[in-house]
Amino acid sequence: MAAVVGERAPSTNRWLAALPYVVLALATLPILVLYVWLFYSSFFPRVEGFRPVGDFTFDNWRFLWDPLSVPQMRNRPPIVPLTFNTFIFAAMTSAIGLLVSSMAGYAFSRLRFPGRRMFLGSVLLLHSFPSVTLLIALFVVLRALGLYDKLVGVILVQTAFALPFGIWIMKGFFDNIPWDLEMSALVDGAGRFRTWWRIMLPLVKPGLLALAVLLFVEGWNQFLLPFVFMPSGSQQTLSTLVKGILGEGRFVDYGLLTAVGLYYIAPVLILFVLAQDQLMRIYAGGVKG
Amino acid sequence: MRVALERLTKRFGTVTAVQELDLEVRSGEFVALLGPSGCGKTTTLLMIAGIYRPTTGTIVFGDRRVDHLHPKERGIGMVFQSYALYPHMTVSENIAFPLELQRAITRPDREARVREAAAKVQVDELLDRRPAQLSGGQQQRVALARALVKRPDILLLDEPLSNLDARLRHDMRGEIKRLQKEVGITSIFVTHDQLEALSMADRVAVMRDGRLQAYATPDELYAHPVNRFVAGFIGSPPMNFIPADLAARNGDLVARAQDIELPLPPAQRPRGNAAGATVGVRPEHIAIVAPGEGQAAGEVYVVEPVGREQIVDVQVGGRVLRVVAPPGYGGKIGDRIGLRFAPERLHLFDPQSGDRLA
Amino acid sequence: MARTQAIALPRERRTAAWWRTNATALLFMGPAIVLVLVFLLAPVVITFVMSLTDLATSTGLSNWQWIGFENYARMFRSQFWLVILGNTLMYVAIVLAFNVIVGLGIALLSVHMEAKAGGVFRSLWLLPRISPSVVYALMWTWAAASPPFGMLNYIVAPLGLEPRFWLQSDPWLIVILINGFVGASFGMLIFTSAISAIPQDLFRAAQVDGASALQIIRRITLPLIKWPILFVLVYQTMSLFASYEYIYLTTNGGPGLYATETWSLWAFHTALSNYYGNLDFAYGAAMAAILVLLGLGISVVLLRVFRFEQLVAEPRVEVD
Repeated sequence: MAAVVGERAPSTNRWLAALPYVVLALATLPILVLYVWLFYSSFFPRVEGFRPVGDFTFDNWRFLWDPLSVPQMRNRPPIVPLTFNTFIFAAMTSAIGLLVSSMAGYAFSRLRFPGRRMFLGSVLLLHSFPSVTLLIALFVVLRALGLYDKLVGVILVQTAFALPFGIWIMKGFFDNIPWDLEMSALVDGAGRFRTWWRIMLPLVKPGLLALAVLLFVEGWNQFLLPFVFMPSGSQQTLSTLVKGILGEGRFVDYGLLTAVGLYYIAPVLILFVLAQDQLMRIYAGGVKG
Repeated sequence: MRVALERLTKRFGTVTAVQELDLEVRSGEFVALLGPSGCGKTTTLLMIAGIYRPTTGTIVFGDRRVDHLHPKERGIGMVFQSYALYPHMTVSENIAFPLELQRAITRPDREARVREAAAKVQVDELLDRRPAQLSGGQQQRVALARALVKRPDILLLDEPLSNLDARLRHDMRGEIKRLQKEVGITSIFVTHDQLEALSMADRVAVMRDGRLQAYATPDELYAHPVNRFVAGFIGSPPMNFIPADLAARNGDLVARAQDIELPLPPAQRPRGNAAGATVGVRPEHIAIVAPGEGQAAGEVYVVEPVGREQIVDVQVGGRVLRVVAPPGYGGKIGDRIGLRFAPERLHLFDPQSGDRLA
Repeated sequence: MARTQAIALPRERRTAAWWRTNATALLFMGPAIVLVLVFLLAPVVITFVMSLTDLATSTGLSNWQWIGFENYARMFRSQFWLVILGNTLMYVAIVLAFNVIVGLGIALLSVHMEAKAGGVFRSLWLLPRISPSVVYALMWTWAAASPPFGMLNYIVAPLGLEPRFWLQSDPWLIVILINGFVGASFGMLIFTSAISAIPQDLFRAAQVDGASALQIIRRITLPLIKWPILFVLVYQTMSLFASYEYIYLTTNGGPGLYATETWSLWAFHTALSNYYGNLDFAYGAAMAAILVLLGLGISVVLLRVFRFEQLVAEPRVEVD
């Protein structure tokens, strides 16, 4: 495949053509180093800079099979329920977010109703509004609803935060489906709900998948919401665990931390490798339109 | 089933797309809505389908008023310009979709009807394909099958042939017409192509700027266009228009333009006593004769052979008249010729309003 | 019929007709409306209302009182507010510059190479964005860690710099790097898609005219992506004012008193996480209210300038 911008004439200076590669490689190096270290450090007792001290070992990973032997893990919830919670949190926000935003996105794209302009305007506004500033008020809302310190509450907040983006993206996908198909379904005898379910949703499947992955990843990664709104108990997620170990003082056990961190980040990395093209497109599309 | 539109009006904001349209389609009739783009014909069709709501006026099917009904309650089938086949379903799923929505129909029954509909339009070999694997003509047939499978009372077609290539268009023209007569279903189709309308429809409604201009059989529209717009829109190549003065000479009425003098037979005389008129004459009603003969003299401007005949543009005075000449005509650019007009084929229109004078 | 005759109907019938006509829209919009109302719109209002009270752990949810603008007055009486404002402005300005310049640089460089290679580089830059914040923060904490662990020390060693614990000695450097590297991908994605949308013929024509790569960038690419650049600038400004997650996870506003504390982190600390145990919700809400106002203002500008009219085209089907 050729470059996005122009095909370079072969006569152009070799080193000039190589320049973008060199510059970009140097600029990207810090990121690469960070991630390589994360991987590397989890398999050695300690790593000083890039120099491993001691032999290759799985000892850092023993929190998986022998958590009691790891002092930092002792007074924390076990890793399996934490992983399960994180998964539930991510899967639920992804599923609810997908359902709600594909319904509202369809309504914005295809239905007439009073206040449509106003709703659309406020969704767009919220889309760029940094919702994290609302944390304090949400604390009060969750307490009032009896949802504080409960997984359900955090799931709903996270879903609501993701909604403006999701609705916006889904509206865009629906907008691209020809009107003829919608009209045809209606004439064939379908109601709006069936048209949405049987005709429109299957046609935006690639968009649904991409949004599902994105919402899942954001849910999986979420730190502040579970940290603030589920401070105690068994419903915590992996992010709180990593933060907990990380925050334990200056002399941190990087071997353990990187192993836990890698364990935590692995699903995201796998999803990213599998779906990076769609993810990049949806990231760019969601903010630009 | 009879379809009646009564004083149907549709406004989008300040734009009036359809204005006070009255139209009746008899049961079993095949009617074309014809007009240039933006004339309101598709809007009218979508109102009949129930996709748009009329701003005012009523739509009656049989003797049931339907303008408040959901499309699914109207008993219509529709073929869209793009065919609108559902890309994620196979041909048989596409055809079955309208039946799927009718609870009363059992699965074996449904399958039988899908096969029957597919056979009727000869796509029964393609049932497992996806729309993307079909040619334009095949997609068209599938769309027809899907529209007909639920045995609707009324069939609507929006520019059904515009996405086909010229050859296929001709074939499908005949086939749709035949299918319509075979099924006997009341059908309304929208087109901007006068040839399509004339060749397929029992009656043609000509629309312009949201208003009905004429509603008549193809023969009638061709022979007695009610106004200048209809006269110019129907027929190919289009009618020639010559602004002329009307004067009496030796007791006869004569239409006179520069270099042309056309005696009007009694039947062509306008009512009242107009001083001027726009004379319309179709290219096929002018014959090329030897110089000095006929009612006008001119010079060949250009000759376009189109196979069966030749279209000759003739310069007469300051204007160009278009004439259809037989295949053997061997004129060259610059030839001096005479033109003979068929007097009983002249049409006279009011120069201001464009209405037919006689 | 419902439409034309509704005028003549008594009010109850009319209300019933309204519900019937809009039932479908309500069904589709309902869940979204509820969630947005409860968890986004209500909190905006509550933030402002709460900022006029003395709600805190000590008062509980029942014993609070209205105190007018006392929280705002208290905020500007605080001896730290100027320091924190200064921190915030510096943080936003430097990280914004880093994000936009680096984002633009990556976009430009990556479109001037083989498409595959460009894609790989862009993916790598997207990594921080899709990583859990705690893990990403962990990596930087390590890089900045005290000897003998931290990588930064090994890098600067050849320059003759003393090894140190960077989070303590140069907290701002770390805060800027961690946020800079994560935020650059935003601009990168927008700019890349904007550049890809420029018709190829323009570049070909310029090459035929003999323009160099730099000339093409300066005379063609940059002028054509002027609006995306402006958009990213405004959008990122707003996000940066509100963001504190990475600062919280690395320096937590320290070392010492408010060295790297920004306005949003200050609000967070005051209301939800402080050492004194008395969570001062109302006071924190007053701090957040200022950010909410700022966010709303900038969002309205974004909406106005960038993309509203094209989005509100009326649906083409009039079926309920």
